[in-house]
Amino acid sequence: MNLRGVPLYLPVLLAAGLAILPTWYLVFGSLWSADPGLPGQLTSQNFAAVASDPTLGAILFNSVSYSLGAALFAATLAFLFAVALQRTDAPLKRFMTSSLLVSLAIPWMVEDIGWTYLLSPRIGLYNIWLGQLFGIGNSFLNIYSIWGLIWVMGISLTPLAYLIISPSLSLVDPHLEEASLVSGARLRTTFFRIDLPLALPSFLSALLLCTVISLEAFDASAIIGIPGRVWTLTNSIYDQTVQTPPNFEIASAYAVILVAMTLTLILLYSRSIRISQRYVTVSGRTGRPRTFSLGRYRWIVAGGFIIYLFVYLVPILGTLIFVSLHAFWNPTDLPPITLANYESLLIFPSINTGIVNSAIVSVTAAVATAALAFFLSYSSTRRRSVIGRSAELVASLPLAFPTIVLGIGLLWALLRSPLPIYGTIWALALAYTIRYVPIVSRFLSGPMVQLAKELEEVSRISGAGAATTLRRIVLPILKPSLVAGAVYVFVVSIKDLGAAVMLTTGDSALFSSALYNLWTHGDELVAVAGGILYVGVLSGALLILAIVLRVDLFSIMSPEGRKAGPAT
Amino acid sequence: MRRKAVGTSAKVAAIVVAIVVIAAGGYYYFYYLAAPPTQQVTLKVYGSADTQDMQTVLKDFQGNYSYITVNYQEFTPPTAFAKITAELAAHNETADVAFITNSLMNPLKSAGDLISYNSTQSANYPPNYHEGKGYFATAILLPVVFSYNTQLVTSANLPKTLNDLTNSSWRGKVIMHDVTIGSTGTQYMLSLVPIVGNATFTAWAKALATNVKPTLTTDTTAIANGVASGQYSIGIVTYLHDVVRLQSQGAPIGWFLPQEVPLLTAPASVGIVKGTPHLAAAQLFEDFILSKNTQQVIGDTAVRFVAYPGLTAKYSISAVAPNEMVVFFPTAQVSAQARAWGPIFRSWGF
Repeated sequence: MNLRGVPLYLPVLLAAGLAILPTWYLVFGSLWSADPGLPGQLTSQNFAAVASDPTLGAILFNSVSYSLGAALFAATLAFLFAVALQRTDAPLKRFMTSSLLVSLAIPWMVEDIGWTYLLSPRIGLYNIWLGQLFGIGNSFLNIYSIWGLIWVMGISLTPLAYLIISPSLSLVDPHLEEASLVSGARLRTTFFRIDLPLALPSFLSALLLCTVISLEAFDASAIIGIPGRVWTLTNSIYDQTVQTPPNFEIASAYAVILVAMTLTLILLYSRSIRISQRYVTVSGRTGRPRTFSLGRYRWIVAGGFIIYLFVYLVPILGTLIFVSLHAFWNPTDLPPITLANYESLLIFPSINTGIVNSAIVSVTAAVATAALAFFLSYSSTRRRSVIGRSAELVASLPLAFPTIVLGIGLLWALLRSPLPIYGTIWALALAYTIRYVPIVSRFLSGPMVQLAKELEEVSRISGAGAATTLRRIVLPILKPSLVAGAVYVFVVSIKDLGAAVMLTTGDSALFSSALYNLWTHGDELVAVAGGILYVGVLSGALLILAIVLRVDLFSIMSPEGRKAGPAT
Repeated sequence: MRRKAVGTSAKVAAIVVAIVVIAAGGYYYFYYLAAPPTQQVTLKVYGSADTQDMQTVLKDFQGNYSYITVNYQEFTPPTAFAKITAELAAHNETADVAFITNSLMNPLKSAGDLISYNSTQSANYPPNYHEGKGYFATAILLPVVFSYNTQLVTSANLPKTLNDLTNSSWRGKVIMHDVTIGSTGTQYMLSLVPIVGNATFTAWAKALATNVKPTLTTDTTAIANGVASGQYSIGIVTYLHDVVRLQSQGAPIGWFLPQEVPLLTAPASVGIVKGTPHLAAAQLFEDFILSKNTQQVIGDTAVRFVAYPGLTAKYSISAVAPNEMVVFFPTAQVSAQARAWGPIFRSWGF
């Protein structure tokens, strides 16, 4: 069945063209001898400058070790949680699962700021308490180090890793376990010889995805890495743009290196997903696997849950609220409680405009992405032409683009092209649309493949035109997946900082960039108050979305959920 | 009699009506027809002064010029510089006015991004308060000091000289502005060279990097906040206004200058950006900021140091640091060299 009346090629080519725009200008910028908009010539000097940078080795080492370390930490902790929550009779399981998922709604930037008040040398509350308890001084822990970065990023990624790993443990075919037990193996042996190997591919998938996300993430690298002089690729890109004068061309060269690394990891991740699919053990006859009894260790595991909550989620939010109620921060000599920081939020125009802009940008990006991804996905599953496949491949390029890199690429593009959207919120909406079209098209491709072509053929035989068939048959069936994709884009774009720091001006400030601006400009406690507001606004928006659209937000945030797509 | 009375009343009424009509017509003429049209203008200012500190001044300005709306956008000086240069180069809309430290005004002028304007207020300021050809004029002074946490550092162990700061006992306890990015920190350090001598400076800076390894930050206010919180004992390249603001809130922070170092003061200047479509409004803004009345407002607002000479204000250098010798920095030469010095400082271990 082909809907030849519909000019599908137009949106598909548009998606491909949009993907080419930042890619082309990023490569161009890395080979241009001057900053965006300035006259210059093509040169390899930028890469030569990067290669001759004596700190390049440290930057690459830090990037790899930090992202791998954080991913390993997150995947291991998530695996332990998945075992405890999915396969044991530990108490507080439902509460713990909810807590893990709630933490997904906290923007990383806010979390990172919270950690600085807990783990800074001398003034970090954990350091002070540890010093008082054990007499080990007040600088035992130092967040401004590679270990700090690994800790912060690892614990932030744990809920995401949990969402990837937990299905592999909850969907194990119980017949395999029964066969093991019947063969004389003990429960513990069955777990280690049957369940663990089956969960290993998911563990590796989580490891790879968390590595990619850590490598791409700008938030922790900026808030913790820069003050600690822990240079990674993302904060090195940013650092080049705040030099006097800025070095956008060197930043672009670093960005190309980062893209090469993320591309490699994404290819590895795709391969790991394919391998993990060989381990599928769910069949129509499958029931739930058995629950292991922990006996007297039940409450020890529950204690682990509580420690996690009281080391991470509760103190982060509690500390931020407490800190935001002071005119300045000195934990050993606290000033009186005040709401001045919240009052100050009203003074900064960027906060007010940031909230409105963030909403407009995220909604626009969500709608535009869903529309383009729909046509891209439809074209790739229904029309397997060479042009369609090529366009799809090109449109997938931004998958390997961290948002800060996309920001740099678009900055070059908008400053050199006649497209009159530089400095407007539409530049950001464009950035997020480009970034998330390939992801949302993958949301849709699964349900699209499952959609029987006969439905469209029946519609056509009944006299409906191509557009009517799309509108009356295809779209209604795919609506849940489209909504899920749009909500996913809304959530990830409203939390993003990478593209925002590159593309916003005062008029187009987003909430995230406005807070980061306050943080870096010395208005730290106002930024903290803004962070609390940020969590509140985001949670409220998500709650409203969940109610209005009747979607399960947590399944949307799960990469496994995205891969499979909601049931159609 | 009756006819005469009616005639008089009619005359009086006619005269009153005539007066009202003439008055209304005159009002209409002078205020609507003869007066120049006041088209609403939005003036975009990229500034590094805190938005909070600028609120009163901006409100006053808009009170005086209701047809001008000031869109004040706060950036760190390097970010403001980066945005203006990139946006101008790409022929995109950018700021009408820049209001940042001279450490970035000098490069903006060198890049040809400012236009010359001799403010009507210039005559009230000494020649070194405005750029020779009128490309920018000083509106606020930013004295730079060394700060210390009064709970962690007693007056007895307060460093007396630059060399005292290189003692390894300060390792991990000192924060300073990032000297590797060519901005204020770099230019402050380079401005010390002619004061202490090249050899002494080089030895000191290298020892500071090696022995103390200061934490570097791209934000000057973060230095004062870090010292006040107790995270750091000493802050290098701290703005005095940040120290005074925190002191007024009760924070345990003080300031000092090593014996060799005068009160190096960075002027924050106003300059009109090339190609502004709102030239008249930009000129009005510059005149307004430099006027004595506005300077008085600035000087009495917590916390900014006024530039207007001889003004008695709560926050003037003469009121807060009366005994210090003020030396302006950076020179245009220092600003021009700063970029090249970033990697040098990095190679020294910063």
